[in-house]
Amino acid sequence: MIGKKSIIDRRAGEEVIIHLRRHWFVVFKVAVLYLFLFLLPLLIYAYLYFVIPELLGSEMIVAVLAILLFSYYLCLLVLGFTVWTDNYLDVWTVTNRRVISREQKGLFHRVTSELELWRIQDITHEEKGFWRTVLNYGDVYIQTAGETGRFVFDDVPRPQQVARIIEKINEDSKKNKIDAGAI
Amino acid sequence: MIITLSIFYYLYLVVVFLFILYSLFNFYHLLRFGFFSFANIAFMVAYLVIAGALLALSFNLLAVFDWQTPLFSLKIGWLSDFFNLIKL
Repeated sequence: MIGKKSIIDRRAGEEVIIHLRRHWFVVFKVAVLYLFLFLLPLLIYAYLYFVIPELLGSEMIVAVLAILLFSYYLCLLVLGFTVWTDNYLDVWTVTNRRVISREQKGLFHRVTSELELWRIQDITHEEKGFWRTVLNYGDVYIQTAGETGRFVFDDVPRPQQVARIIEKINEDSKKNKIDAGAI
Repeated sequence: MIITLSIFYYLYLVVVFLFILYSLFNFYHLLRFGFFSFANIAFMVAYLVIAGALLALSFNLLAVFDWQTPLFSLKIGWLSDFFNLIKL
C-alpha cells in the first residue's frame, strides 16, 4: 500500500494540489443494486414456499437449491469486491507540475498516465443528469496538445471547482515559465 | 455407473476455488496499488469476515445433506467399463 498523497517519481518542489476519486454516489448506486440482488433469493424462496411448497419437501432439491444459493452469494460477494477495487483504484492527482491519472480498467488492466501542465490546451467540465446536478459531481475533460488526446476525470466531486483549480495552476505554471525565460 | 448428488458438491467446490482465486487477485491489487487509508483497510477486513462467515456457514449447512443419494444411472457401456477399470 502507498501513502495517501504519494505520487510516482515525485520531482523536486512538486506538491499535490488535488487528489480525486469518484464521487461516493457512484459506489452507492452499485451498493443499492447489490442490496436488491442480495434480497432476490429470499423473494424466490418465499415464492417457492407459498406457491410450490412440495418442491421444498424433497431433500435432494433442497440440497441443489442450497448449492445454487451459496454459489450465487459467493459470486455476488466477489463481484462486489471487484467493483469496489475497480472504483477505489481510480485516482486522479493534480500537482503543481502535472496531472497524473491512475485507472483500474479491470482486474488485469491498469493504466497510469501523466500530463505536463504546460501541455494543457483546454479544460471543460460536464454535469449531465439529475443526480449529477443535484449532488454536484461529473466529468472533467482536459484537452492536450499532444497525441494523448484528452484526459478524463470520471464522476469526480465538484467538477467546476476542479476545472477552475487546474486552470489556475496551469496559468501560474505558464506565467512562471515566461518569467523564468525573461530572466 | 451411478451418478450421485455429490456432483453438485464438486461443482460448488469449483465455485469456491474461483471465489478464492478472484478474491486473491483483488487483494493483490488493493495491497499493491491501494492507499493506506481507513476505508481501504476497513473494506478488506469486512470482506474477509463476511467471506469467511459465508464459507463456514455454507460448509456447515451442506454437511447435513446426504451427498451419496443417487441422481441417475449412466448406462453407456464403454464409459461404465472405463470407470470400472479405473476403480480396479
